[in-house]
Amino acid sequence: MAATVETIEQVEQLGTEKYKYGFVTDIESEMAPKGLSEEVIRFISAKKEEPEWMLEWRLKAYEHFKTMEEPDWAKVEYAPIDLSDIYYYAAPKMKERPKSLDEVDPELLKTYEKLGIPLKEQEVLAGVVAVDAVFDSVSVATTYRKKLAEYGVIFCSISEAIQEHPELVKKYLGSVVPYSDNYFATLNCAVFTDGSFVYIPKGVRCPMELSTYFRINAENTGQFERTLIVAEEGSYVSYLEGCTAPQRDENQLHAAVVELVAMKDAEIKYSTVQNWYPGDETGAGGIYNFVTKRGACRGDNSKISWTQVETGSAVTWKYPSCILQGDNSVGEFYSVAITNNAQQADTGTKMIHIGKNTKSTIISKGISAGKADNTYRGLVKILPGAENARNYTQCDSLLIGDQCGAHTVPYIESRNPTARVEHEATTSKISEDQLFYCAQRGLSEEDAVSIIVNGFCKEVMKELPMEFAVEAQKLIGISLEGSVG
Amino acid sequence: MALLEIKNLHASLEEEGKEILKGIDLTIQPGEVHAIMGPNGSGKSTLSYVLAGRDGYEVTEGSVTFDGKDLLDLEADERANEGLFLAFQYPVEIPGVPSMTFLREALNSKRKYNGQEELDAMQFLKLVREKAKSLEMGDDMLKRAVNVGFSGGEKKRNEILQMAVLEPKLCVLDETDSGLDIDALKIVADGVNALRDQGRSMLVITHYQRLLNYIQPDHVHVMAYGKIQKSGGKELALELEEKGYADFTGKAA
Amino acid sequence: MPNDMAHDNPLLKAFGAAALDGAPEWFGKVTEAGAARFAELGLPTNRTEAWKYTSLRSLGGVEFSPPAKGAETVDIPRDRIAGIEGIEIVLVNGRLDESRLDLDRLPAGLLVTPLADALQYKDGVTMHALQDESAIDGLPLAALSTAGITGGVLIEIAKDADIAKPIHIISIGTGNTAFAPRNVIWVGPNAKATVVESHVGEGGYFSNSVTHVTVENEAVFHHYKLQNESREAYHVAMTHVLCGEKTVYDNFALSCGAKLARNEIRSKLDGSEILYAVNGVYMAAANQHLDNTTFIEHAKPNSESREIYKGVLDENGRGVFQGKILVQRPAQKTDGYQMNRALLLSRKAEIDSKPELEIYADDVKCSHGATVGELDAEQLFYLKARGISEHDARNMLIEAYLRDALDEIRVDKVARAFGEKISDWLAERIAREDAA
Repeated sequence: MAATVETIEQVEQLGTEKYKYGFVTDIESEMAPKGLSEEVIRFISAKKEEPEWMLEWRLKAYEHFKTMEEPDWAKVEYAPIDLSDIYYYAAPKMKERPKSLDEVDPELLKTYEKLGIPLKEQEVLAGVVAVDAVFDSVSVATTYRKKLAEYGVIFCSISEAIQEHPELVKKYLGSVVPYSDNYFATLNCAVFTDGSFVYIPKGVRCPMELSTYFRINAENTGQFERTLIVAEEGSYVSYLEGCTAPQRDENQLHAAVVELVAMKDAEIKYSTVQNWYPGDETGAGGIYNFVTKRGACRGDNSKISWTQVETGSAVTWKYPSCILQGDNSVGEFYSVAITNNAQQADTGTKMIHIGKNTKSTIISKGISAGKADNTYRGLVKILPGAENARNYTQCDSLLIGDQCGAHTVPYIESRNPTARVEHEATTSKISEDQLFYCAQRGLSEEDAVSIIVNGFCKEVMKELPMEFAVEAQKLIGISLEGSVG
Repeated sequence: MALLEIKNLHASLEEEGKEILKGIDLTIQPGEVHAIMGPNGSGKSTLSYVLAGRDGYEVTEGSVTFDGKDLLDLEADERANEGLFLAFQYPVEIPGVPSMTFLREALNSKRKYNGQEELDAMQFLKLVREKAKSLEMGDDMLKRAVNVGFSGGEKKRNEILQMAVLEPKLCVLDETDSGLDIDALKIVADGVNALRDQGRSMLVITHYQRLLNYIQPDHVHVMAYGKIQKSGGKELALELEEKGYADFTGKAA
Repeated sequence: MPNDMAHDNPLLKAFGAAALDGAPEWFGKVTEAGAARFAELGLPTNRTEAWKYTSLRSLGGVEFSPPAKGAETVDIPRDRIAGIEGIEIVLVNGRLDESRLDLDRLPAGLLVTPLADALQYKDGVTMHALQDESAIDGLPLAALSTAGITGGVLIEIAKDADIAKPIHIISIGTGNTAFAPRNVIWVGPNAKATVVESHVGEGGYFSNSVTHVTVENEAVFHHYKLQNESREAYHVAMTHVLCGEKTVYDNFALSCGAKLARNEIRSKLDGSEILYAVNGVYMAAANQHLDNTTFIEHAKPNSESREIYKGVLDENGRGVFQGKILVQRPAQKTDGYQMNRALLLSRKAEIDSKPELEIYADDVKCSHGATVGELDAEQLFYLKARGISEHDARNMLIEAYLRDALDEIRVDKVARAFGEKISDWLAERIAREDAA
């Protein structure tokens, strides 16, 4: 609860500052030729000095991609994306990847400092969070690698993993989200540039939170990151991801793929605070956030938990999902999605129950303000073998103002008579009574909205790791600035 | 200088344009306790809302001066931070927001407004515990979300505790006795009395005299048809208890 | 999916051949527009979002023939239709059986006109309804139905009239005919009436109906439907409802027949203080596919909609529920509630449920829910602890679960009649169990 108060304090300190991550880092970049082609894919692969099998996989995806059409079923509208007008690779110029943090370009270090991300190991979150920093198309630094290595934990960029742990990457990459999965995921398979790789060996409880911080900097650049997390039998890891981008008038594409694999008795907790640049009040600029995130609970008693706080992006299209294969496996999805001004979000989850006694919980809180549209779209599917499967879904929508929209589109498919699925959804608004009560106790309208919305989201916010909770609560306040009054 | 000075206050419902307050005059000196009594629909609650600055009412005439300032010129949160506290008849529920957080937020808003240093979590906790103790209340309510699942008595006690922590100059108690059994009524009244000291004024709005058995007013006003019809000492309350509001409404209330 | 071949579609041919004789020119344009729209949309498959769970692909391969030119008279299967005493209107293969229609004995305030006659009225309710393009826009089966309207009636309830006796529309299908009944119902201001539809038949026919309902200001209309078609038949029904100020509309559909059925109701709540309800029960057994799809549009403030569907799926029966509530921006203070509950009684059964909210007004109270599951284990145990066998206990609970839904029917005699059909279905199920 202290955190909420701090949130408010920080919101106040920020004043009317709208998007404080909107600055541009002045750094020389190396780019691939503009546009999408086999040459560009070969260029990326060569830049990363990838083995032949990786390039082949990319090209296979590209071939398939050429046969696909952009999906149009989501409740979002945006100008067509010109794939030929995007740089698929942009990297800060450096001779070679820095061996230690001391070698990282000070301009980059400054950028992360400004973003509040500690890349120096002795800073605020020292010893608590290890960070992989991805800047445009490359990972520029990963902290605490040595300490993690002592536990057998591998935490590095995916590019390094392809070179240093090819057997693991080969085994798991594309095993949850196949290269042919969907338009944006397939595109990602062809052109992904960097991202994080995490491997937790059998029986290990990862000693610190792992975190990746994604930053888009260069103009006209798409970010296609790829993250792969494998938790072996009996292991545990909590992973956080954050994202920001400069304020630009153009739209930028972010099409990521995240794959999680949890073996027997393993648990992965994946948290996201998504704060890509949302565009301005009129809807100009902002990130198109088209992301495929999926986890496989492969082993018995495994658990995957997704928590997301989505406040940024002009358009969000994202359904972090769980495939519950192992008996007694558990999938969770906790989501807060805030849309203000002209933002659009179509987000939710898929819970696919395959194993016996599998359990899933979905808690979704959607907040719409301004002229924004916010859609929850979710699938709960019970296959015939999922004896005693259980799902509980709760979707609550909050509307602020009468120009926005809140939509709920659940799909429930059951083919097992012993399964139970429950879905509840409500829509409400912040009442005048609540606002007046807060005002009478001395709170300004913006503080009142922030505190009430944080209360509305509490069930989700409490799932966030402490280190991120404050940041997320603060974001909720900022995202809704100007939504009332 | 009077703490509150209401002159010829007229107010209407914004939507319907219906006039509810039809010329209220009332002056409260520091430290005084005034009671406003009246039948349902007389405009008592409207007066409390207009003073606190609730949306939906339009002041068409008159003035309100609070501690030397034009109260009607201030936003609702500014009025609160100036030291006007309204204890609600029906305190609203705010799901998911812990009472403790809410109250600390409120106190720090006020402190900031007055150019004081804000309290950190530890300092605040200490303060709340002290206040709760002085009111002989537990602080268990503070761990729960604001008013969510509170009984009627708990809601009112929570209002009194907030009042104690925020230390307002003027407390407006809007039908604080409604929905309370006799034990809860006594706890609330004890709380109010504990807060009643020199410099803190009270405006107690009530339909029944029974609350005034516990909170002794300096002045009693009878309100009907949007106007103060009669003013007097505490004996007026007893008179009303006996005769009802018939003299003022033309029918038994 | 656009389908160039659709004009050659045998379905369109089967329906198109059934054109009404002596219809005016404007009607010809209506049927042409229906054919063109169907040609453009094609037969829906599960790639069409609105038909995601009910693909009609298989229908393309079934051969249907048009109904006989003139009206037919067949025996009414009394045990299959709703057992109520009502004013009967009988359609055979989508053609009105005028020999059974005694227009002289109708109560005052009720007017029934054969569709063929109603078409002759210029600018009337019928013309208005049939020319409404939104009734076929994006709705392939309604378009197909419009291409080959076979017959029907116009039912008009005069202003302030209170028709106590239910009006009972009985649709009977035979053989492998494809037919497209079209009924137009107009409930005048402040009028009260009840319409019950019974859909029955024998054979592998295809009933593809469209019904237009207009409920004028302050009218009360009870609209109930028993879909008890032959188990080889296809049944697709579209009901368009338009509600005015302060109206009460209450719909209940009991679906237990047909091989494949879709009961779709699209309603526009175009007034304030409307009390709207759309409810139903569906019971599917071997090789049955029962789809209930509803769309409720709140266009004005201060109205209430309630929706409760309950289903049981036995053997390899499949149930589909799609419900959408749309609250338009002006429709503040809307109160909307929607619920689908389904019980799977067999390992081969399936339920697909998609309750949907689309909300553009902020001051509303809207909620929906869906549950899928089996019988309550505690209730089952309680009954067994009182000495009731598992088999009997289960059937008792299933019956209680289904009968509970009948409370939503506001006309008691209809609730009783529908209750009998639930009992029949359960008796059949018990007989099946005993035989196994």
